[in-house]
Amino acid sequence: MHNSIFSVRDPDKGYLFQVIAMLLANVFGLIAWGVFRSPCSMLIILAPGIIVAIVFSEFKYKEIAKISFKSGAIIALFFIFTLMIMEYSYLLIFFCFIYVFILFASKKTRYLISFAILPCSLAFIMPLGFESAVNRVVECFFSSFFALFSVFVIKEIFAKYRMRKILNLLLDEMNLLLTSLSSTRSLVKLSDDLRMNELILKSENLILKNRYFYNINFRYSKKMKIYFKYIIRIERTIYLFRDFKNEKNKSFVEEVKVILNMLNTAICNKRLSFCVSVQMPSWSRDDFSYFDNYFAFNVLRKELLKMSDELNSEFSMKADI
Amino acid sequence: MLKYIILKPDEMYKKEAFRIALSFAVGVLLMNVFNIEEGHWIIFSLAFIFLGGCAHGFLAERTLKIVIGTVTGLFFGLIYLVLLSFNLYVYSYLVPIFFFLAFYLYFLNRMDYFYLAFFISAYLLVLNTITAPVYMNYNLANTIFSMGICAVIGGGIHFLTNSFIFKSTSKPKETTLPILKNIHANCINVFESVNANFTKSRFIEGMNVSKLVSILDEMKSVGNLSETIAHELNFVKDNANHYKNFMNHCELFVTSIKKMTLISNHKFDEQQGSEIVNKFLERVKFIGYDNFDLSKEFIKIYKTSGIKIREESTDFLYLKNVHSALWNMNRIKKQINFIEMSSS
Repeated sequence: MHNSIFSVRDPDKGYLFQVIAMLLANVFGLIAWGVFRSPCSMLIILAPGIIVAIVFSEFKYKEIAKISFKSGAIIALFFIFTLMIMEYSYLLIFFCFIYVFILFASKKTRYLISFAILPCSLAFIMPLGFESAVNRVVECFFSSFFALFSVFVIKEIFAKYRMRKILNLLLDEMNLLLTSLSSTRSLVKLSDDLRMNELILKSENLILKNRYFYNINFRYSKKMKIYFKYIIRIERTIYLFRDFKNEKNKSFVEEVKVILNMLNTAICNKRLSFCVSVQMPSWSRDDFSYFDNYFAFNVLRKELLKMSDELNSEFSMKADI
Repeated sequence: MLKYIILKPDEMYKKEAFRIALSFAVGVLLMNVFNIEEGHWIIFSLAFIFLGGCAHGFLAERTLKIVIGTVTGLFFGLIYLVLLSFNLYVYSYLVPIFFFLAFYLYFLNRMDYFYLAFFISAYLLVLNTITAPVYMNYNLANTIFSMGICAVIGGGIHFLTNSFIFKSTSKPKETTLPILKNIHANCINVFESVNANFTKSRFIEGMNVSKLVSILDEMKSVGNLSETIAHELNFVKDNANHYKNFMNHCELFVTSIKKMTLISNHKFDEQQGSEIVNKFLERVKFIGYDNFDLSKEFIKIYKTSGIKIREESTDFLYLKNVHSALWNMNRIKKQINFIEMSSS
């Protein structure tokens, strides 16, 4: 399974969680339809999932709620007008043109309408009349609420897993980079670099930008932020390493690898404790062929000690997770 | 949100919106004038295409995928209904799985419309059947036939509007330039910010992660678009190399900045060399990042200042990376110029 399409194209399971949230929203809609039946339509089953697709990449719940209800309002407005003017063919055509044009032409609403247009298409098969329009508006409101709720549930339930997973992937990638660096050549391969940067991009979104509601997730993300901060610094020291083939001190790469593995274990461990218990050798300038490697190793040493201190002080203040 | 949606020029944005709106209006017109049964499927087919913001390149392929995906999906939905749902009603409640598969396979296969059209069609067909009022006379075969025809009409409208109305707006070649220029501007911005921190010996708290992530994010968009561009008609083959070079230099630039940030934060053996670094950076900024010969300028400053930089110092290490960052920035600009010239 390691090299399956899932692990290559969705290594951090980001897509999977997004689609699970969409599915959950749809299931809520299906349940609502099952309970209320006749006043409800297909809209309540289709729209929540689509709204989740729009909002899942947002980071703050306030923003998620705002966009969910905005999308709901866009769908509701389309339904109201379409149901009102359905009998007047040319007016309907003109309305569709203007509505789609205005929303697609605005940078703020283009992304919303590009998804919302899918449930909007259902307007043409809905029963006409005021009552029907009111029902559709209520359905849109419920759809927004279901979307918001399912995003909240999925994000909070899987928060720890996702944060842990992304940092583990980042560390694995760094390990791989080090291995290829030390075994083949001194320069970093571009594809490795791109993969690494993509993971940093995702980690930044997930750990630094996301705001979690539950205290337990919030605290966990706070500790993960510390890890992320230092992992970024370690990653940068790796780029400073130079010309392994001609470097006389070969063992410092092994030292770095040990550190990366220790970090990986610490992140997998629920207690998130980490300390530089290994005796990191204090090499002098003469032990290295290049100043770059000496400098990078010193920086790494310093950063790891700082990280250990910061994590320990965080632990001593609060109870374990 | 995808960066290439935001960074398009306003004029192009409006043209594209006009084309999309026209597609929908024509769909509604056909549906109403000819009173087509299940006519809303024309709109559905169009909606699939514009899912996520806009559609670029591969016009014929995209249209074909939507049509084939919808028709086969409807057929699959029919089989599901006849073999399972009509025998045991419970199977109808498994329909959200289709929705799951539609989007998961769509994302997993890098926005492949076929999977989306296939499963969403099956999903909507089953949903349509189970949510239809009991009193409604529902002819399944008729419905599926009409839906299939509507999908073909929808695909046709998309193809025609894309081929004849503001056709340049659907071409990624036109949309990449603003992104490329934005990336270059961001590169200068981040370069200057790191240097300012270095010269003033300030600690860079966030290690410039956000700025670099923004550059990388845009670079990813360019990467995706450039793959599409290569399949466009009238595409200048040499441009493929320029895009590739652009990506490579961007990547190398980011690596240099990463190193510079780290070095700047750990100036543990500060010495006189910092002064020459400052002078060099000031001079480069004064001349402009695009019009200078790095080595000449540096030698000029080095000779006149009379300050020696020790090779084994943080300043020297920093300067090496400044040189690499500037060189890559220069190459980035050159690639943009090449692409701009060939586009015009």
